[in-house]
Amino acid sequence: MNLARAVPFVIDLEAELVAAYPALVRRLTLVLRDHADAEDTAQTAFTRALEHRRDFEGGDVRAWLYTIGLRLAFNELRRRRRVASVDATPEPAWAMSSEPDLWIALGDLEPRHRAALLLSTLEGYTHDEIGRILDVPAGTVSSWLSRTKDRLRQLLGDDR
Amino acid sequence: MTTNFDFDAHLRARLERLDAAIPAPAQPVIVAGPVVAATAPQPRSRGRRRKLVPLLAAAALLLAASVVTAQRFLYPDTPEPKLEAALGEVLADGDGCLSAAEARPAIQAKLDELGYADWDIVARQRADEQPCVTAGLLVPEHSVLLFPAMGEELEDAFEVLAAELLERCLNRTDAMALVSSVLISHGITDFSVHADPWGPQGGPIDQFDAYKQHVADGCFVYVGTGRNGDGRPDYYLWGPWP
Repeated sequence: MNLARAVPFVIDLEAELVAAYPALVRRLTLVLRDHADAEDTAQTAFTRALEHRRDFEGGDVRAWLYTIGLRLAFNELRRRRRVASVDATPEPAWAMSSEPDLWIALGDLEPRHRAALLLSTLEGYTHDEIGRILDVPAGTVSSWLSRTKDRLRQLLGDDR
Repeated sequence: MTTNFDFDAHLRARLERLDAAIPAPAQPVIVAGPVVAATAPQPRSRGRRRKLVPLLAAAALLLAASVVTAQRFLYPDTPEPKLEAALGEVLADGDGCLSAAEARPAIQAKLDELGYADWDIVARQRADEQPCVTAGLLVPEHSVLLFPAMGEELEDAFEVLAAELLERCLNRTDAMALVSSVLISHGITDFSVHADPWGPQGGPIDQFDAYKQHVADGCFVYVGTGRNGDGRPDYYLWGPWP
């Protein structure tokens, strides 16, 4: 057994990951539609980012963390589809007391489209940047966003 | 009638309101010391927040570093996303505790289904003898590795234990006795508890200052678990130098 004396570490990358963490949880909450699952997934993403810090080649730490977190989230959603039966979970109070119809409408969207919408609208990422995060061409992102907004217009009754 | 309604701006404002309503998350857990690769994501019970789980998971693999560092979970470009997702699905069964005997056929079925004909399943750290396992990919060797895992019930117990140690001020002997009693009460008798000054130090990031202060005050805190070369679990406490 060779356990060296471990020393707590804090470097800039970690600080940036910590800073990006709350936003990741919020995005994942809307993608996974479950705050507790979002926290668990974000924590796993955070841990993996730290584990693979040497693979980070510079640039946007937040986008890197989102890339990891969203991939884990999509895996979790695939797992749910395989094991889920009837979802009797009530809608969260925080959503019902703020934007209930928007929350429900977002649930009608395909998760990757939902993620693209959040990255575009809330984060301001370009279609090209979103494409890199979601591993799809920028044109696909454009198409997703266009269809997603059309769908939301219908669902929200904002088709003016 | 057409209006100048700006749907994008309207949607952004509504999304921002919804986003702002999301409860504030806890701080992420950070591990002090060497970090090793983790396995596929584990299922979590709804509504449960396990702040120490990643710490425990990382610590559990600490001593298996010679094996685990050979893994290539190169996020974001993971080389085997389909297989990793499939492992996650398999491990989601069993209510958080799948034995090697249960995991092997399920993983083999996934390997067959996904066309990984030349991959094998290898137990490490006496995983075949443990009640719960987790899994990882050793991509260069085309192997799925099975490692011992704590199981959700024991994870929960250690979460409570960690909080208890932070709440009280136990000396080395009493802290080791508390850990031992938790393990024995869960039917685990083959283990070691370490509370050496050269051992690992760590804690959840949102409590790390409290952990350090607690140790500085002469008290012992729970850091995590690992496996020795024989696969026997080791549990680590962090305390003051004698």
